[in-house]
Amino acid sequence: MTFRDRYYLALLNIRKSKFKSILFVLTTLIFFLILSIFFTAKKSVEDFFNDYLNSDFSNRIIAVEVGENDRNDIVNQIEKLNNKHISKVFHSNYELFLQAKIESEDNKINGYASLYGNYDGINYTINYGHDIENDNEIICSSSFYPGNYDNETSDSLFELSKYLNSNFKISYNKDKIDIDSISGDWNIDTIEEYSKNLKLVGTFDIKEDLTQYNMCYVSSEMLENILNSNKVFENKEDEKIFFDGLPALVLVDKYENVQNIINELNNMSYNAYLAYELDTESIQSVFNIINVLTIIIVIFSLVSTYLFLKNSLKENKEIIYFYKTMGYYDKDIKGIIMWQFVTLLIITFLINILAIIILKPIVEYILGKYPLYSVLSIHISIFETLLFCFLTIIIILVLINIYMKKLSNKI
Amino acid sequence: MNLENINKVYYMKKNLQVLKDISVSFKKGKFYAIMGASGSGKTTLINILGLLISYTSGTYTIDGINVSNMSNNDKDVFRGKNIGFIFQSFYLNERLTALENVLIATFINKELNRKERKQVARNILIKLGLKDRLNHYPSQLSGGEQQRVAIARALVNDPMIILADEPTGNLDEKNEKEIFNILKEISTSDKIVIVVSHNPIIKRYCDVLYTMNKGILKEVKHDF
Repeated sequence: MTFRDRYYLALLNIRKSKFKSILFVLTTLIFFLILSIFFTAKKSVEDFFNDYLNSDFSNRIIAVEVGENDRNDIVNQIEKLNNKHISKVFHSNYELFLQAKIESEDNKINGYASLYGNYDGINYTINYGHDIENDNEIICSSSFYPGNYDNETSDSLFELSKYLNSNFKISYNKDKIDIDSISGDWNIDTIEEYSKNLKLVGTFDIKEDLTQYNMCYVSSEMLENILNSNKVFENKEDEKIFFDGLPALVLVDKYENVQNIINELNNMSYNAYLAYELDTESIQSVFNIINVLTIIIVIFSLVSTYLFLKNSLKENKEIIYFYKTMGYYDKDIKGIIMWQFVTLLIITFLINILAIIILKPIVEYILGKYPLYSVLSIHISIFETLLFCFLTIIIILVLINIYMKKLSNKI
Repeated sequence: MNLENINKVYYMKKNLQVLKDISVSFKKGKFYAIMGASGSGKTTLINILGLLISYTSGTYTIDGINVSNMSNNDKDVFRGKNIGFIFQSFYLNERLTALENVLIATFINKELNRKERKQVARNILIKLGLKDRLNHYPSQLSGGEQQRVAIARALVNDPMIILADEPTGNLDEKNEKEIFNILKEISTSDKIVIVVSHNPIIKRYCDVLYTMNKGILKEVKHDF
């Protein structure tokens, strides 16, 4: 019997038992959908964290403990290593960024942003405009949400591409720091207020870079100039107390090189560690719950498929007998029944994929309304669903073989 | 077809012997009828003759070949080429036309291509008087016509043996006669036709009549 003949008869059986076929598709579809949602949720969250680890440069910053007397020496020594994977060494986090007030010309945007320097190891994906070329230029996240803004819904997220080539007023203070050596009290006085007009020349994609919503980049030279002059200390002792306990920071070019650099620094007798450790334990426990639930559903759905199929085969006994009377080989009959169920499974799989594809933008739209979740991209997990589909097919094959063998033995 | 001391026992809590020492020969060109009450073992015998179920003991040979030496595949091949089955409930697929119902029996015939198989199926239906019913669905056919389609399906691979289990069980008197006439005619073309039936009219058509009672087969002499 040719494949075409087998498939023809399989389709006939599907049409003949239309109700049962629809029931099979619907039942399997429910399992497929639940599993697809689980797989997709897991993949999306996993991918998000993987992307986050690689994209957000804060995961590539190593803290190196320093004493106040050797801070400069250690920074110099690390710089002298000339390690190509070390992009920048900061004396402390006060060199890393500047918290500044940011205002658009139309004053609609008015809040606080973190300004970072565009160092080599900091990568971002420009989605509108171009990268910084001059000191008076700035780029910010395309979905912008300045700090201190009251409303936290997406309505307050600004689409910054509309502000391209317009000027933003950046304001920051020069502070005088006076620390009482006896009481230890800090006294910070603003001695001067500065502002600069920077032109928004580009925006970066926050979904690609997974950064904060109120983040901007300026030229590293300009940032260094500002940061070097925006603090004055009453005396040298105050400066030491101010920076005491703050580690030096090392920016690494890629996440994959972070551990090597930590090892290298530790081998040099420094105490180096990841500056911002991600809470992987709670993430892992979420994954564990998803894994357990997935396994339960997979087992439950496979058992259900098994029972449904077993029952269906028993009911097909008459038709199998009829095929036998016509001299059909066992392998032909197996082929017919197999294709009958495989066809239904393929239909289920396709409906499932279609449903997920339709659901994806809806879920993304809903998530997009909330700044906290809007960076989460939905990654459809076709592979795992396909794997489950194959598992079900294997069960079908095994069961058909067992059943036909049993039937042959009876005969 | 030669059966010697064939026994069939279903091993259950209480063993059930369905056939007892059946010894019989079936020869080409003859119409055999087996009559008997329900549960007497007629269908079991038909299933053994059709190589659908095995027997517990005894010897069954076809053309000198011992059936017990055949593998399941051999049996399938043999059945497909040499045995045609006719059932009381016709076993027609409601979603297929008369022609398609016959055609599915030709799927095992590797010697013919699709076109030739279709032609063979068409010819056999025409021969059985269903020229105008080729593209009708079973629901559009009378009981007699449906059984003729089933007979066409049994004959389409030109088998040597025709086994019919209560072929007129669902038919009226007129159609009964018609079907028995067809079966009689088939037997004259050098084929073995074995019919299991309750219907006493069969006596008028068969060459050899057997009765089956509690698993024991006996030949009945009668005037034809």
